[in-house]
Amino acid sequence: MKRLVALITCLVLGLFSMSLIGCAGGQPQSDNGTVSVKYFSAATEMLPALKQGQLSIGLLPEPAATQLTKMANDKTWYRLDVQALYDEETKAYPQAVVMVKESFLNTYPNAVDEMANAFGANVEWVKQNTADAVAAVNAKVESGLTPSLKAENITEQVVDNCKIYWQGAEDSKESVKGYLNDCIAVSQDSAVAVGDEFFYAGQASGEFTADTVKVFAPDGAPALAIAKFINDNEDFGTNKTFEYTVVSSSNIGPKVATGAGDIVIIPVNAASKLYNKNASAKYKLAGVITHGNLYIMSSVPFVTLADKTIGVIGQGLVPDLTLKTILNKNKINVKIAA
Amino acid sequence: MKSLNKYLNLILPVVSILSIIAVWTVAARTINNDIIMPTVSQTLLEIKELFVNPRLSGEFWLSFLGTLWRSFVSFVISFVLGFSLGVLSAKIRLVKSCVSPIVSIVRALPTIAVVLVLTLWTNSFIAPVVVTMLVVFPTIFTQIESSFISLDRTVSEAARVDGADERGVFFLVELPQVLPAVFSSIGGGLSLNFKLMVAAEVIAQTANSIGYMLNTAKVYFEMPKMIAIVCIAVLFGLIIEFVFNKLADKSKCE
Repeated sequence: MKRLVALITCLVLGLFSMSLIGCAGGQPQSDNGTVSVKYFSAATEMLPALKQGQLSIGLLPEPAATQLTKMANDKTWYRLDVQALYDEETKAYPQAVVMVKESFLNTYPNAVDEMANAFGANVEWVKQNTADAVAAVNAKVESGLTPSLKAENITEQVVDNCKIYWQGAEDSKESVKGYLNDCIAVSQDSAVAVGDEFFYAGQASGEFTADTVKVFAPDGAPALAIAKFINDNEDFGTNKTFEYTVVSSSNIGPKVATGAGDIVIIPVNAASKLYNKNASAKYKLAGVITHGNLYIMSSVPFVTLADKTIGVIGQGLVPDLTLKTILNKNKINVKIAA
Repeated sequence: MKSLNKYLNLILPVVSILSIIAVWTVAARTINNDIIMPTVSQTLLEIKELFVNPRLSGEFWLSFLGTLWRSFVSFVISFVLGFSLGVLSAKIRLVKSCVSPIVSIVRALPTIAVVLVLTLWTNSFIAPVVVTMLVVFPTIFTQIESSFISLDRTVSEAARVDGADERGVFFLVELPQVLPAVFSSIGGGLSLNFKLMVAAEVIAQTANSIGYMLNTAKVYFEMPKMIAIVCIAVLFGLIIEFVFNKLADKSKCE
């Protein structure tokens, strides 16, 4: 009996000390300071914390960034363009891309050109018909999901801030490969380096036999980008029935993984991870449609992010990865706040 | 006949585990998509990688020990509270009337909602600890209380008649009798604690935790890694339960 008690005590003490050591962890050497990152799962969680002053700096996508300035108009909000921080010249990075099933590309080879041509009108249409655009998107939201877009939050400036424009597969090769390599440098599992066969260049295989073409887009700026297509039930000259659905960003990955979507708008790093994983449904990148809508909003002026706490939505997703890339470039270390 | 039973008792658990693995292999081969269902060999490889690969194992051990530390803290508090209140409730009617309704309310709280609320009120380190306490404490309380109530009063009475004081009766007569139940409740409680802690950490996105690792693996579509971490957590829970069940058996006074 006594031996048992002694054994248990030793076990417990052992685990206890091991976990203390585990918790202490090593602090990396920093060059320019350390920033603490606090993760939120959605903008709706971070906005109250920013408004009430519990958090003074947050990384937000449009339209949530402008929504913050309206919600908390008792404070002055300083805005930093993350896109400019990532790349001073282009002020853009590939964010949401259009992945199309190879069988569809092979059966309707002109569809992508039609899409590219039709896309140009999207932005102007959204600016002129904001209420219709939001209504069209919100009507296609999958059951159970609360739509995030609200017409009163979307001004012309907000639409411009979302950086919506079409960049074809050929033109986007360099920036996509570069961005994916940056993601991998930050977090090895976040993306996979892709070769040229990832991009659609006119070659595809397979026969598309389904009756309807299923299009999926994640809620937010990417859905807004194709609002005109949703409103017009655009079929890109294929004369087939198109079914548009807006899903939550956590449900968009499975649409490619299971092959449920024929045309899927998905963050570029997720696309690279899912590429070629499903033998029965292969996809290729047809184009890049959003090029960064992230802004660092702060209620206090700051010179450097070091020694500050910044709220970030989407742990492991594009906002997190882009922020970490920028911090790495400026040799600032990242620590996760409790 | 007896030896056949003994033989079956050893073989059948192995057979049932092997059949689970067989079903898993068939399913993975049929689906043929490792994002939806990784194969057994992929998972085993991933488990090996988690321990062997220096990049992965550093993160894994940090997360595992972080979760263990939080489980330890929450379990100790739950156990101390549960045990003391359980004993007092069993012995003193007044305490039972005060504590029972509170325990029932705490037991009925929906776990996920509490995590979400606590993450706003406190930080992501404390929230999972408190939530796990809220579930494990009522469990231990009920188990301890019922094991003390079901004690044979005549033995305690005999001890009192023989001149033992209350402390003596408790430590020398009652405690050894409930010790097997206490050990198995610790084993079950620790296992439950660990499982809940991981779930709460996923929601609270606690740094240095198994929950955080699981969430990251999900976001990056690393299914083999996810299943590997789940297997390790399950194995850990099984080992704890096994150890404490053995302790419970050893402490039975025959």
